[in-house]
Amino acid sequence: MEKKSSNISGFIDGYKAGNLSLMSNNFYIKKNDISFHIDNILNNLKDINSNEIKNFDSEIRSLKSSILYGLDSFDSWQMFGESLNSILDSYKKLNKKTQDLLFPDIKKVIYHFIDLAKKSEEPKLIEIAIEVGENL
Amino acid sequence: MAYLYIITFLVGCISALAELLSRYDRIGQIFAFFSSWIYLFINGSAAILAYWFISEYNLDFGTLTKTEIGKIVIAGTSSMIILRSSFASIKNGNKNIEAGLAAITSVFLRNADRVLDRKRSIEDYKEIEQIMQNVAFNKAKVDLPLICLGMMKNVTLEEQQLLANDIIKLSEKAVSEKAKSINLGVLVSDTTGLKLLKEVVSSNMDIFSREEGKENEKTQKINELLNKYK
Repeated sequence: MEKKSSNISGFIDGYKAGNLSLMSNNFYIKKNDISFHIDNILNNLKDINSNEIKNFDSEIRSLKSSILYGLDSFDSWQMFGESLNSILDSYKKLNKKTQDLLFPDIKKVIYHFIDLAKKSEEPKLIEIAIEVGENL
Repeated sequence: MAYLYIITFLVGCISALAELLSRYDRIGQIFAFFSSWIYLFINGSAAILAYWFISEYNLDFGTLTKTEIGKIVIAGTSSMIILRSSFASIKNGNKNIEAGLAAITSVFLRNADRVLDRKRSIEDYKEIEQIMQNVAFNKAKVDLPLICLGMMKNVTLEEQQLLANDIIKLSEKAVSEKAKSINLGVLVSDTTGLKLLKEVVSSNMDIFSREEGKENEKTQKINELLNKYK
């Protein structure tokens, strides 16, 4: 007699796919919001002539390209959160004046990321969002 | 020879019972309705009629009709086909009215459906409302079906996906938390049955419990952070 084993992958896959399609509109909106503030950060960085911001600038540019070419799945948003976390570490190393200049947009990027994580109700994404939020 | 007709009648009834069982999951309730008995009787009678035709006119369905058992099996199962048949489909406005025996049998089936549905909905509501009364929808919407499905061995991937889709649709709806919890119980119990639902909920109330006024720690943290960065 064939031995049957339980398999819950149908539910998990169905739930993930359904949740993803439910979130796709939010992904789009948040991508645009975050992209706007990242552009602002890049514009502000243009006016600063200092070697200090070189690393930070390249990190922000790579974050910008991750927005342009991805962020349509929970995994990609998790990776975005991890990159954002490492950018915040670099941000904290900038001088006070540069930090103050960039702060309003940095704050908004964090806000939109946390808001998205909350709406997604994805435990892993929420965990990363909390880490990001507490990093600053 | 009379005993052959009795056996044919019983085979017809059994094939009708199989259909009723595929529609309803509770055998006890099937026999509680007059419509179900009528439906079984009509199927049994149609089987007798089919057996009479096969024997009287020596209808040949291959080697199967060479023996009495073969004739009984064909008559018993073909009664379902005869009763589902319609010789014309009359269009009335937007409705298609089937003319034939199918129209008669469907009356009894529909009636049995409706009576059972009413009776079952009252009984199920009482039980599900009791099981789910302290369950928080947001805490249970993934874990509860996952635990229940993990215990089941025969739920297909498609059924699981349908359940997941229904739960997602339910979570989107702007209805009260209580209505969502009860509906979650209804959706899960449709697949797993009430006993397993009750067992899983009562054993895992530490996970699913609705604590009034107390937010989940992480949700609370997220809300604090949103206020901080607003």
